[in-house]
Amino acid sequence: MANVEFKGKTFTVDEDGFLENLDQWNTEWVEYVKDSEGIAELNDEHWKVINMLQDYYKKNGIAPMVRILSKVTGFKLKHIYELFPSGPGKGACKMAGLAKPTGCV
Amino acid sequence: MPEGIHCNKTPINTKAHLDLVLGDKGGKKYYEEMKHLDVDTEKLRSSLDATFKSRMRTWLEMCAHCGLCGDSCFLYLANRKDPTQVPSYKILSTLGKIVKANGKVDNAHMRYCMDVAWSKCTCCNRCGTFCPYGIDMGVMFGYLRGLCFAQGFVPWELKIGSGMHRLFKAQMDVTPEDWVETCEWMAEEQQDEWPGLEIPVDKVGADILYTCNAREPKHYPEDIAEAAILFHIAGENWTVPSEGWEQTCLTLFAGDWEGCKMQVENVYGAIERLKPKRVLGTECGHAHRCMVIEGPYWAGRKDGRPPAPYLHYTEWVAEALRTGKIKIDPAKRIKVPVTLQDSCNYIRNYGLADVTREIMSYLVEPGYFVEMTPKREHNFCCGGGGGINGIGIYRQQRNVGLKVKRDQILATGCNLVVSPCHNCWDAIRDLEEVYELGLKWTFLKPLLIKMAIIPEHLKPKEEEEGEGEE
Repeated sequence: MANVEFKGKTFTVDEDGFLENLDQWNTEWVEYVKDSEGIAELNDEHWKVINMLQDYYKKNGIAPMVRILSKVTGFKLKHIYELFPSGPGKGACKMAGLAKPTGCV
Repeated sequence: MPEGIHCNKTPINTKAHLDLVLGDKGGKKYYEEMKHLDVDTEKLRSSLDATFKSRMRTWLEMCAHCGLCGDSCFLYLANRKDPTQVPSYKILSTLGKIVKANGKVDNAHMRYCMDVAWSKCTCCNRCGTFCPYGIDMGVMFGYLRGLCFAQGFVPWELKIGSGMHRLFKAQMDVTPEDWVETCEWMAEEQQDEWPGLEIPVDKVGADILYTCNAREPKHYPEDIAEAAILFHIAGENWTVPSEGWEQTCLTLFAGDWEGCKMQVENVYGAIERLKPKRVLGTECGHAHRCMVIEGPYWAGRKDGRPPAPYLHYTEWVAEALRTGKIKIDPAKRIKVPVTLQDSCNYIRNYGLADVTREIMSYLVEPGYFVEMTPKREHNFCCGGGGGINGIGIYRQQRNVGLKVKRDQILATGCNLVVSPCHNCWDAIRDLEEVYELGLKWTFLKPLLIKMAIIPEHLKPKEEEEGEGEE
């Protein structure tokens, strides 16, 4: 566990750099993560993905399958990768403040 | 103290139990409870009586403490030759003590065993190839993990992984319906580029039954699409099973022996149901170990083989290139220095070193392939094997262990690593995250799709129509 400071906000992250607690999530966190995830500017489509991931996680306690993400947002897989180059499994989940997915990922 | 709510000896067999443990993010309560978990010494003793047989008993007794295993272990080397990282010491101070005490050990010892079994050994089996007696600490640590799991001393993520297998017959929460829907979705999304591409489900008597890793439908569905595209190019008669599609067994890494048997029987059931000529697994190391190398024994198969010939993905790729089912465009071959990661599970433990090199000879322009040192059967573990890739509390130990692979790759002078194993691929990705070397890493599938000569009849017709209109 470590603390990350960015634009006056402090975040506690786990060993893999994921937010310890979704309650800490805010727009500064997104700003902090976006560079390391290779995203220049966030647009409405990024936010659509982030909001979907958070809604699903709050309801189910786990990240959704990519198929569900695609169905709900209407984005094709290729487009999800255009939005989140490091992938929906890690990069997008990290940005949305979800826990690091368990298993071989 | 009685069993903890989150950390206890009961494997996860219900959704409520899974949700409870998953909800304890990072396992904070789980590990706190573990500090107070009783050891059932009677159960431990009876487990030893029933399962600790002559091979391992002899290994423990005959170890001459010569220390030759030290330099064979990447964790010993990465930790500046710390004596407590010598494989012989690691096993004697853990399993050796349990055996000597005939199971009468306390909570502190079991937690020590867990730390050593999961953070100081990736079960890569390299030490076994250097020990003058052939003593394999990886095998014994696999056994120790089983004793730890049965007592509730297992890392949080692997307790969850075991539970996922027990509930979903997959290491992640992917149901057969989810799996089939993902296959349909992936086939549908390829139609513009690959008209007519199919992912046939439950076809009986196909030439190839394809099995994969749950991470593919859950997080990386492009991997399934890529497999389908390559079968499409090669003109294979193939299928996937609606059930029994998940080839991995995190239960193996967790030490959940019962879960291992359940998982392998699920896949073998699909083979028996669909009667393919051959089965082909994805680019995964431990999945191959589970279904092909160890699985037959878990399932109690007397011939020691799966119900049908079961190939690693690299074996199929080499065959497809050799027979011309997939032809590589020479202009698209790799023309930058490139190295190859040898996966412990199917190179050291299954002998496919020549197969992967045959593939490289097709994909890489002569003169650009650079071997790591050591290589082939003697290659070092990627640093993420045996489950450590996914265990948060051991991330720091893992980062240290990754130095050996980092230095091996740096010594090749290559920035590109071909890694036909999910676990190695992840380890190299994480190595890059920590050490920022500017590396690129890749599976075989995307490389092959980029380099393959596409038969005319498989190309989209729209192109021709478009040309006509102009």
